[in-house]
Formats: sequence, C-alpha cells, structure tokens
Amino acid sequence: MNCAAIQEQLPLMLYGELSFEAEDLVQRHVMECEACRAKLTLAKSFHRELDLLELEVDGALLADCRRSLRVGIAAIGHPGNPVGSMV
Amino acid sequence: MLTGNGQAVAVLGTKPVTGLDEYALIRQAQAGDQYAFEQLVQTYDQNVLRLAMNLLRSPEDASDIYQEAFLRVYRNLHSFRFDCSFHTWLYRIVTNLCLDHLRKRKVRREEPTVVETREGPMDRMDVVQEERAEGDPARKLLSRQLGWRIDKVLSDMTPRERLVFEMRHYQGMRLRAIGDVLGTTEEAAKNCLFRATQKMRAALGDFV
Repeated sequence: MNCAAIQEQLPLMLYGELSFEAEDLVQRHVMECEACRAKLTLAKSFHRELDLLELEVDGALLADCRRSLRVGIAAIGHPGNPVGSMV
Repeated sequence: MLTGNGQAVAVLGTKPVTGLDEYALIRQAQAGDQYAFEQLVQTYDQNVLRLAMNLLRSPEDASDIYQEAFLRVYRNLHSFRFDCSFHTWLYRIVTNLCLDHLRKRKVRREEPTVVETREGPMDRMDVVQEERAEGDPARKLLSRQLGWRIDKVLSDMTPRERLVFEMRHYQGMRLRAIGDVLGTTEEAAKNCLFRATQKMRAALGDFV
C-alpha cells in the first residue's frame, strides 16, 4: 500500500473500524514512514477537535421534551384502547 | 451509554440497565406499565435528543423528532418482537424521521437556525457556540466563523453521510450497528463515514 492509500485509512483506524490485518498494515507502515506518522498525528488532533464541535443537550430542553411526551401519551391512552383510558 | 459495539448499557440514575432488565422493562411496557415505559424512554432519550440536535442543529426540530419518535415507539411497542435490539429498533425510527426532515429541508433549502432579531438575522447556533467562547471577542469571531463553516460542511454532506458521522463520532456506535439501523451493510456505512470525514477535514482542517 502506498502513502496515499495508508492515509485514507487513518480516520477509519482512529474509529477502530479497520480489520485486524488492515490496522496492522497501517501501523507497520506508519512506524517506518515519517510523512504518514505526521499525518496520523494531525488526524488524531483533528479527531479530538471534532469532539468540541458537538452541541450539548440542555437539561431544560430534555425536561421539556419529557413533559410534552407525557402529555402526548396521556392523549393517546393505551395503544389499542380508547383515548384517555390510561394514566 | 453505548458499549463499543453500539449496544445500549443504559443508565437510569446510577443504576445500569442490563439487557435482562431491558427485556423485563419492554415486556412490562408492552403490558401497559406506564412507569416501565417511562424508564425505557429515559434510558435512551438523552442520546436520541443529542443525535437529533446535532443533525438538525435546531432545538425546536430536535424536540419535534423526540416527540414523534417516542410517540411512535409508544404506539408500536406492542408489535416489537425482539427480532433486533430495542436500541436498533428505536434508532431506525429516529433516523428515518431525521432523514425525512433533512430531505425536506434540502428541498426547501431551509436554514432553520437563522432567526430574525432586532439586530438583524442571527443564527441560533452561533449563540450556542459563542457561549462556549466565554465573551472573548477574538474567540467569539472565530467561533462565529467556525459555526458558519460547520453549517456549510453539514449542508454539503448527504443526509446519510451526516447520520453516519453523527452516530459514529458522537454516539460512539460501531459501523456494523449503524448499518443495521440504516438497513445497509457495514461496508456502505464505512464508505459514508469515509466521505463524511473527508468533507469535514477539507472544510475544517485549517480551523480545528
């Protein structure tokens, strides 16, 4: 495998999604290739930084959702039974 | 909470819910036990809301997906036959709703996070990003630019690429589990993830 092919595999390796053989191949190449080692360092850093882009769920939003769901369920009643027969 | 293979080991308060507990909960909920249903919902709902929030980047839309998904679960729980895990079944419902929403949005070319304010149009998600910048003007600017770039790269991804990326990176699901949820192969999910990470890297590589 050449460097371009190895570098394409790096994100999948960081997600632990390569087969044992494929990961072994990439790891061995990276140990011997300075350019790919630098790319792996960059990929790891990018991978970590992506974590910071995640939007967090507000506790109040979750509480609102749970409240509205209870109301929705009460309106349905028991599935298959007439409305309001539950709760 | 998800294990490495994308299966749920949920946490209710401090007590982990095992597969056996979950089976019992589902059975009780199917028999009409409201409390069991609520426990089942609360095992997964935070992750469901997080997935919808990050995919749709709108609290209102995420909230709509949450409601619709769990109401569908409630209406159809009696037909759940344990042919797959409850997590897979639930996520099929959630991802189908999200895909529909993303497709409609693409057709409408809607930018739902942009709202009109007295100061002009403002992206609600910028506010979220800016809160993290903690008032530092330079960081605020960087944060706003980053917000635009994220919106751009997300709109350049297909709905499936977005879903796969969110489920793998932020929900920690394995590609095999993602394939099961989306009704596709692990290989197809892997290709989606590959394209998504390439796009993210191309768009954000100099930023993050």
